[in-house]
Amino acid sequence: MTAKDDHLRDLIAEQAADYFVAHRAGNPSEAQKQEFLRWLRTSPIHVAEYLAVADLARDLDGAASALDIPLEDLVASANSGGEVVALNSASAARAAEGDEGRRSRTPTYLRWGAFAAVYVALAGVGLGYYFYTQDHRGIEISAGHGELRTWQLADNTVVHLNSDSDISVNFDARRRLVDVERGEVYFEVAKDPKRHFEVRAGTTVLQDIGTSFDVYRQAQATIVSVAEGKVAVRRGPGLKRVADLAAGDQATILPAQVNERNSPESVRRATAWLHQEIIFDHTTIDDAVQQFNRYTKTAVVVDDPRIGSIAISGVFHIYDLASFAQFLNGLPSVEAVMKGDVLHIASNGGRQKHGG
Amino acid sequence: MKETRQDSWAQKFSEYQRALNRFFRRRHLHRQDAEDLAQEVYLRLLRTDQTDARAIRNPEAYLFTVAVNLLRERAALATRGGQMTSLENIEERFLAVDPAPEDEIERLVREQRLAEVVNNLPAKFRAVIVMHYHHGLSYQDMAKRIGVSPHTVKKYVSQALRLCRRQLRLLEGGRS
Repeated sequence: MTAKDDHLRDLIAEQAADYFVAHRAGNPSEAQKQEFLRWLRTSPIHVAEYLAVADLARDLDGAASALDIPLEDLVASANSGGEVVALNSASAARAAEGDEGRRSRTPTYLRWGAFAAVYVALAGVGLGYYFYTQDHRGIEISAGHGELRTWQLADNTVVHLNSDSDISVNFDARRRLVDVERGEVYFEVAKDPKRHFEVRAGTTVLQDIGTSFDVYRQAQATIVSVAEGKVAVRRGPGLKRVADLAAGDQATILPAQVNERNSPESVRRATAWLHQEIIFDHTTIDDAVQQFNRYTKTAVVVDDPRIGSIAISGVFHIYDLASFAQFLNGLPSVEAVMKGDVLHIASNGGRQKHGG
Repeated sequence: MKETRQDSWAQKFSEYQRALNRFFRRRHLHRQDAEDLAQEVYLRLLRTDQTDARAIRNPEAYLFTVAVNLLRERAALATRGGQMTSLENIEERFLAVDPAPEDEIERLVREQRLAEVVNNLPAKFRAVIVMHYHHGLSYQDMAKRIGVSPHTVKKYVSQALRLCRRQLRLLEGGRS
């Protein structure tokens, strides 16, 4: 299954879940029934996903009871936020190898009478990994255009993916390795004295022991911004150590050189996307537009090169192009106009604006 | 009115589940079989007259009816090698209430895997799933307890189902 198929499937699964929940909530109107029937008739995948969510709901009766979490705890945890999406990829990796019977941290919440029978039925394949259940082998995580994603890995490290980003995760008994294939990722690394945490961006390798930092892999440069702790930058065939970064440091790693500077302000700007913000501080309109284009469906273009070099400052929400357009229209010589699906930024010919 | 609708759904669905379990018994390529089944159900839905009263009254129950009928037909073919047999006989074999031991183990494996998936959901999603499916709270009750609107609760449940489905798909995908 390709990534695109998988995405489509996920969309259909989402709709199936919406219909399923709506059906459980009460009497649908005639119009809703017709709409559902039309939806089902769209494709066999729609039918498959609806049957699948119904099957899933049935299995949930048993699964939810097996967890047996007290009601008060549930209410408390529902109120505590908890936005982190846990990636169950440790078990995905195990299942991929056909060995879901192996687990090191036998959860106390699993308490079926016949559980031992399940173990016996599935035992047999490679018990060698039994002690390494924190393995991730070739797990890939992506965020599409305009998406921000957060995942928790098996070692409790949390990865935040910015728009248009792909990473692959490979953990074993000796080290934890994450490849940033493209895009930008913020790492909150969990401490594990036995296993190094390494982030690779092309030929650059970042090594650290329990810290938080941002890696933005661009076409030419890779920018590393450290929020907490220390990061060692290594590169090239011999993985020569080229920089040691501490909190507030930012390094721009170019093919021929590494530029370092201590600028907590730059680090804050570089990581503003975690709060869905874009911060401009004497940023050129060209650069600002580039930033917005990372998130929006609408394309933003600068029609007049003279406009592109004007510096602006401000804080915007990453999806709020309307406010950005309004802000630009407030500038004396700039005009931002929507034409079709494109936001055009042009010069207004120096005309004085009223109230501007 | 509401009770009738729910009963009809519950009845149709449990029939469908029983038929499905019987069908999958002794089969190994579950995923492929499930897709084939969906394909067949889809084709039958397409043949449904737009004015079919049953389909319009309750499309969901109708979906399960179509699926059950299909599963029965397939079971008849499979068990009798295509020979004619009395309908009564099929029903008896096919809709037997006692689960086979293999079915039971498989169900437990599935539940164990799903329990782990649920446990790894974001806290509020996990909360609504366990509240609803284990503690039996309605969407309304959950909304009151958590202090959000019923609409938000429905969103949580729906998102949780979707995440579970995706996670299971990944797990199954890796195995085939």
